[in-house]
Amino acid sequence: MKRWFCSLLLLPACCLLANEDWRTLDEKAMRETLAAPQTLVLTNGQALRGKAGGERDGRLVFRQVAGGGDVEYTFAPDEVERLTFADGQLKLQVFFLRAQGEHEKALAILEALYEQRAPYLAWMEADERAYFIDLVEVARDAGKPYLSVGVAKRLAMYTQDAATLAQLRDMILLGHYQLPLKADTQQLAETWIAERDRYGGSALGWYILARLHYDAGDVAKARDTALKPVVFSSQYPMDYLPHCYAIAILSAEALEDDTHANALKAEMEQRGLAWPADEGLTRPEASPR
Amino acid sequence: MLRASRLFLLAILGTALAGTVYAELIPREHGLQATLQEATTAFEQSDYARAAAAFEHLAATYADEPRYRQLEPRLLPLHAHASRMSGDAPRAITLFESYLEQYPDREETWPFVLFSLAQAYQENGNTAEAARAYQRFRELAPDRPEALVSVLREADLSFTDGDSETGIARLLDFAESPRVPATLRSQARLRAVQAAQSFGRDAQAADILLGTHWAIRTMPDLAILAFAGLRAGEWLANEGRHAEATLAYRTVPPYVQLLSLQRERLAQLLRIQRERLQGSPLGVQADTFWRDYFAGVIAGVREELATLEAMEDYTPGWQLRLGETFLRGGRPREAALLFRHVSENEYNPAALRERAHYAWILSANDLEDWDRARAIAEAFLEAYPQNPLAPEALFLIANAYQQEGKHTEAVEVLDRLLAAQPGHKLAPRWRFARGYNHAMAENYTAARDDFTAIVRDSPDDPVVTRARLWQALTHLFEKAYADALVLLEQLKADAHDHPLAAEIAYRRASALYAMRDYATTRDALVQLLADFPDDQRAPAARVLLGDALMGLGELDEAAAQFDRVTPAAASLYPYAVFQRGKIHRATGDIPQLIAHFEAYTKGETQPPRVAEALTWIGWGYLQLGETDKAYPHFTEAFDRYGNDPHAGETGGILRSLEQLQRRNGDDFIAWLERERTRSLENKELTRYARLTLYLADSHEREGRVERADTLRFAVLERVPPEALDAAGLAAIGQLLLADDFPSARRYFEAMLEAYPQSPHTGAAYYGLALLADDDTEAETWLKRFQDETPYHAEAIPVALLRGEVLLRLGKPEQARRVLEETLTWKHARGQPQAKALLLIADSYAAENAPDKAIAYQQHVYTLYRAYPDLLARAYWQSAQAFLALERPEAARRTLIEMTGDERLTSSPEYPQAVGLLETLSARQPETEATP
Repeated sequence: MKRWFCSLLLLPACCLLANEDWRTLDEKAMRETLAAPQTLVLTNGQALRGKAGGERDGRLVFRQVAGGGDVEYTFAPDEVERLTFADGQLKLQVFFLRAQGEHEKALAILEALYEQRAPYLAWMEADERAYFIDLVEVARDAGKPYLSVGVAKRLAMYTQDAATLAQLRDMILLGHYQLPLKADTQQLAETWIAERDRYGGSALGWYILARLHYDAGDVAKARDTALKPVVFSSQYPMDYLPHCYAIAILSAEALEDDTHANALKAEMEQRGLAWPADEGLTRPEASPR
Repeated sequence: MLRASRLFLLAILGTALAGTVYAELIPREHGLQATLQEATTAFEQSDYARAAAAFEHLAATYADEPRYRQLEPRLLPLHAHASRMSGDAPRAITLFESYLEQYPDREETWPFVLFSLAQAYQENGNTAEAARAYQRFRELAPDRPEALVSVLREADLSFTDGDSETGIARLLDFAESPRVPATLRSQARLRAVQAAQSFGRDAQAADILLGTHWAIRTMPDLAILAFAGLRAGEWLANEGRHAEATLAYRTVPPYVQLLSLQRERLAQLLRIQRERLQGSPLGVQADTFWRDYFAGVIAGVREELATLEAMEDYTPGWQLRLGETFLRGGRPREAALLFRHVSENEYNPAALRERAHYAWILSANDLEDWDRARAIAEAFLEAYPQNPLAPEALFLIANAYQQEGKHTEAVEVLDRLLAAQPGHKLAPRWRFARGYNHAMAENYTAARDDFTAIVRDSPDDPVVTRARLWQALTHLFEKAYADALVLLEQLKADAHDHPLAAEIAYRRASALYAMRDYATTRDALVQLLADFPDDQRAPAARVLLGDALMGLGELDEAAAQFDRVTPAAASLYPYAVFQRGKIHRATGDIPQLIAHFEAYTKGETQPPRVAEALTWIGWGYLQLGETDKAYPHFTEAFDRYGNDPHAGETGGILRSLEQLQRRNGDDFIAWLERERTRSLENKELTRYARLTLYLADSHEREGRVERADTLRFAVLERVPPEALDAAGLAAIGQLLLADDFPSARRYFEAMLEAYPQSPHTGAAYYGLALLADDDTEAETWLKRFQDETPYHAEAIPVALLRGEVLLRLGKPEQARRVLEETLTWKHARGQPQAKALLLIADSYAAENAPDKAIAYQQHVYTLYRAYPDLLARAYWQSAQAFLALERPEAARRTLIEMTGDERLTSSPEYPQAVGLLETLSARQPETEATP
C-alpha cells in the first residue's frame, strides 16, 4: 500500500492535469494495448519487436512478422535480458482508479494485464513482476482472497529480493487468513514465526496465529500468543504490533482479567499505538486513568 | 555541516585559483605562486597543518603585495579554516575576527565565517563568545540549515559551562519548533536525555524519554537511545515506578538489532561510495573530496561497528530487568515470557540464566499457575542444585502445593527442605509454613510441634509472634478453648505493639465467646475496638461484640453495635442487619422490625439476601395481624424477585403465601400451578423453577415421590443452570446424583461458581465428594463442607463419610477427631453415633490399638442394640480385637453372646462368627478373666 501511495505521489503533474475521465474503462483501448507488440531485449543488446508465443522446452518462443508471414524464434533463458510489454495508459489508469476507490475497475485492468503476462513472469524484469503486487492488494481489498493468494504465490516463485519476498509472504499469510483454510493458515503463520526475526519489523505471523485462536474461542491461547511480540517489542517500529495488543486486550477482557486488559490498554496508549482500524477488531472502552 | 563547509571552501578555493587572478600570478610572483599552490594542494588533501603553515607564510611574506591584498578576502577564510582544522583555534579566531573587521561588506561569506568562528571559540573554550557568534549567525542567516545546528551547538556550550538546565531547555525548545525537521527534533530530545543523565538529572531524563514517541530506525541514534533507555529503566525501577520503568526499557532495541543496523549502514555507505566514485561529474577536486569524505565516515562507522561487536550483548540482562519490572508492576504473564526466554537460551551467561529461571518460578507463582510453578521450580533444582536460591525454590514448590490445598504434599517438601538445610536463615519461616500446612491438614499436634520449635529455637526471628498465634489457633481448631486462651493471654501481653496485635486480641475474644464468657468477651472487644478502630478485624470484632451482648441479654447495646456495621464490611453487613432484625423480633418491636428490613431492601443497589428480608417484613405484618398488608407484600415480593436467581432464598415467601392462602381456605397448589404456567409463558424460567421445585417438595412431603421427581425433571429439561438459584442447583444436582448421573457435577460446580456464599454450597460439597474420582478429592470437598457449612442438613452423613475416607487415606487420628465430634451432637444420637463409634474403633484398629477399639465396640453392643447390623459388626470386630490381644476366651465369650442373638443370624458376619466360635471352643479352656 505504501509503495503504491508513493507511486501515486510521483505521478507526473501533466497526467493529473489532463482532466481525463479515468473512471471510464475503455475496453477497446485496453484490448489494443494488450494486442500491441512486445519488446524482447537479448543479452547481446539486440532488441526484437514481436509477440511472445509461450514456452517450449524451457525456451521462450517469440514470433515476428516478416515477409508477409510469421518468423518464430526460440531463446534460452541466458540469451534473454528482458521481455517488456506495452502498457499504454493502463497502469496510469489503475493508479487513478485506485485513488478514486474504483477497486473493481482497477482490478479488471490488473487482471487483464496479469492474464497476458503471467506465463512470462520468468522473462520479465523484477520491477515489472513486482508491479503485480498491486493486483495482490487490490484483489484482497475487493474480497477476492483466492486470486490474491494465487498471484502472490506465483510472484513469490520468481522473486529473489528478500524484502519483496517477505512482503509477498505477508500477503499470502493475510490472504490465507481470509480464506476458509484455517489449518493451512495456522501452519503458514507458524512457519512465518519460525523464519522471521523476533525483533524484526513485523508481527504479522504472531497476529494471525493469535487471531486464529481468538476466532476459535481459545482466548487464553490467543492472549499468550499475542503477548509474545508485545513483550519482545522495542520502540523500533513493528507492523501489526497494535493488532497483537488488540488481541491480547480483547482476550484478557474475555477472560475477565480487567487488570491485565487495562494495563495493556494504558501501555498501548503510552506507546502511541493506535487501535487497529482494519481486521474488524472492536475497540473496547478506554482504560481508566 | 562538515560536508557543506568543505564544499563552500572548495568553491572559494576554486575561485581563488581560477581565472585571471591565478593566471596573473604565475608570471609575476613565482614565490607567491608556489606557496599558494602548496597551500591549496595541502588544503585539497585535507592536510590542514601544512595548508595553515603555507597560508601563514603567504600572509607573513606577501602581506604588502597588491596581488596578495587582492586575494586576501578569499584566502583569509581558507587560512582560518585550515588553522582551526589543524587544531589552532586561537589563530583561527584571530583570522576570522580579522576577516569580519576588514570585510564588513562581504555578506555572502559572513555566515560561513561566523559559524566557523563560533566553532573555533567553542573549541577554544570561549563559550560566551561562541554563543554570541552563533546568535549573530542566526540573525544573519536564520533560514540556513546551520541555524538549526547552531542551536544544538549552543546547548553544548551550556553543558560545557555546567549549566545543564539551560542546555536541556534549549534542546527541548528546539525539539518543539515546527521549523525543525522530525529527525533533528528526535535527535535533540535524545541529546537532552543523554545530557540529563550525564548531569545526574535522571528524573528529568526519564520524563523526556517517556514523553517522546520514539521511532528511531537508524544508527547511531538507536544505540544512544538503547543505553539511555537502559539507564532510565534502571533508575525508574529503583524508584519503584515499575510501569514507567517498563516503558523506558521498551525503548531499548536488542543488541542484534543494533549490530544488524550498523552492518546495514556500513554496507549502504560502501554502496553509495562506489556509486559516487564510479561516475563523479564533479571533477578531480570534488572526487578527492568525496573520497576523503566517505573514507572518514566509513572509518567512523567501522569503528562504531567494531566497538559494538566487541561489547558484551546487553540483551539478556536487559530482558531480565524488563521481566523484573513487569513482575513488580503486576504483570507476571509478560514477565514469565521474558524469564523463560532468558533462562532457556543456552548462549546466555549462566548467572543470568539461573536468575531468570528463579524469577520465572516467581512469575508462575504470581499467576497462581501452581502446577507450572512446581514444574519450573523442579527444573530449576535439577539444573542448579548448588544455586544459593535452590532452598527457596524448594520452598516455592511447597508453597505451590499449599496454595492448591495439597497440604500433605507441602509438608513432605518442607520436610525435605528442613532436613537438608536445618541451619538456613530462613529455616524458621519454612518451619512455620510446615506447621501451617500441618494445621490445614488437621494434624494439630504436628503443627504445634513446629510452632513450638520456632518459639524455642528461634526466639528472635520475626516469625515467632505468628508462630505463637498459630500455637493458640491449633487449640482453637481443636475446640480446646481454655488451652488456646492461656496462650493468647500470654501473647497479647507480649505483642501489644506487633502488627498482629488486633488479630491476637480478636482471637482471644473468639475463644472467650466460644467458652460462653460473654462478659469478658464484651470487655475484650470494647478494648480491641478502642485500640484498633481502623484495623481490618474491626468489623468482625464489632459483629462479635454484638453477638456477645446478645448473649448477655444487653439487646439495646447489641443493636447499637450491629447498627454501626456498614456495607463496606462485605458479608458481615447482611449478617449484622439480620442479627439486628432478630433483636427487634426478640423485643417484640415488630413495627421496628418491618421498618428495619424495609430500609435494608430499599437501598440503591439490591442487597444480599433481599428475598429473606422481604420474608421478614411479611412475617412482621402477620405478627401484627395485618394479613391485608402481608399477602400483597409477599405476592409483590415474589413478583419482583421471583425471577432473579441472585435475590437469595424465596422459599420463605412461598411458605408464607401457602400459610396465608391455606388460612383463607384457598387452594395453594392450584395457585402454584397457575403461576408456573404463567412463568413459563412469560419465559420467567427462574420463577418457574422456584415454583415447580416448591411444588415438588410439597408432593414429596405428602409421599408423592414420583410426582415430585417428575416436576424436578421438568425443571432440568426446561431451565438452564444459569437461570437456577442456589437452591435450584442443589435440588437438580441431588436429583441427578440420586441416579448416579455424572452431569450432577455440572450443577454443583455451577453453584459454587455463582453462589459461593450460599448455605446450599454444603449440598454441592457433599455431592462433589460423592462424585469424586478418588478419596483425596473426596476429602477436599468433605473438608470444605465441614469448614464452611458445618450446620448443613447433611452434616451427619458428611461426618461419617469423612471419617471413612480419612481412614482409607491412612489418617486415623484425623478421622477420630471428626467422628468424636459427632458424638457430641444431639441430633446425631442413635444409629449415626453407633456408626461413628464403630469407625472410631476402626481408627484404633488401624493404629494397632485393639484394646482401645474394643472399648468403642463394646459401647455399641451395650448401648445400641436396636441396630442389628451394627451390633453384629461390633461383636465380630470386638472378637477379632480380643484375638489380636491374644485373649481367645474373651473372643469366644463375645462370639457366644453374638450368636445367641437371633436377630443377628442374617448378618454377613454371622457365619464367620459361628466358624470361629467352633474353632475357639475346640481349644483348651482359658484362664483369663471375662471381659
